[in-house]
Amino acid sequence: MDRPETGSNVQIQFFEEPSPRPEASNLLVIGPDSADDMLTAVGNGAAGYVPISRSIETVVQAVLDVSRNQAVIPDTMLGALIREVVRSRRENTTDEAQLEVLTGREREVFALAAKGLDKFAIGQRLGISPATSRTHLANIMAKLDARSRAELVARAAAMGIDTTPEER
Amino acid sequence: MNPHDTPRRRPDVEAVNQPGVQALFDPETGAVHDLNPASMAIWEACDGLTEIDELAAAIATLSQARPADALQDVMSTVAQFRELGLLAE
Repeated sequence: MDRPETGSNVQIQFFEEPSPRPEASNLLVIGPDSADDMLTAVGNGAAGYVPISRSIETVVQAVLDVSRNQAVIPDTMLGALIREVVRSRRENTTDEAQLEVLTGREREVFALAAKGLDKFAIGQRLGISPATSRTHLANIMAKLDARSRAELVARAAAMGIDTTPEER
Repeated sequence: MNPHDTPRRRPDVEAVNQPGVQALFDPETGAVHDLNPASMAIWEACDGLTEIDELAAAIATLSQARPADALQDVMSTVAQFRELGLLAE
C-alpha cells in the first residue's frame, strides 16, 4: 500500500482491496469514482475521499481541508452518503425499538443467551431458577419474533450484541 | 408540507450530477434548473420513501448543523422543487 509523506499531518492512501482500515482520522483516500468505494473508505474512518479522476488541485485542496479537520466528500457523492446515513439511522432506530420492548431482566437474559448460555447457566449467572430463565427466554423469543435459539443469536448479532460463546 | 412527508421526484426529470455541474432538466417545460451540491443530494433523496425529517437528520449529522436549521433548509428546498413542478403528486 502506497502511503507517501505529505509534509502535513495528513496521510494519503490509494484505495485498493481489501478495504482500508485506517486508524487515523486524518486519512485522505484517493480511489475510484465510485460512491460505494467512497462509502467503504468513509465507513472505515477516512476523513476524506477524492476520486482519482479529479485534478491535482482538488487533491491539494482536499489535503488542506483534511489537515484543518474538515471532512472531504466529492460533491457528486453527497447524495449517496446522505442515503447511507439515513439507512444506518433507520437500522439503529429499529434495533433500539426492538430492544425497548424487552424488560431490563429480559435484556440481561438476552445478552447471556446471545453468548450461547442455556437456561441453567443463565439462571446461575442471574441468581434465578432455570424455570424462570426459560420463561424469560420464551417471552424474549415471542417479543422478537424469533423461532429458535439460533435465530435469537442471529438477531442479537444483527443488533451488535456480543455473541462470542462463553464457558458455562 | 410536514416533516413526515416523503417527497418523490418526477421520474422523467433528468438529473446531471458531475463535478462542478448539478442541474435538473424538465422535459415538460424544457427548463434547466441549476442546483448546488446540497440541493442535488436532497433531490436524489426524494425517492418517495425517505421522510423529510430523516433526510434533515442525516444532513445535520454530516454537516454538524443544528437539526432545526437542517430541517428548515430541507423543507425550503423541497418546497422549491414542488413549486417548480419537479415532484410527483
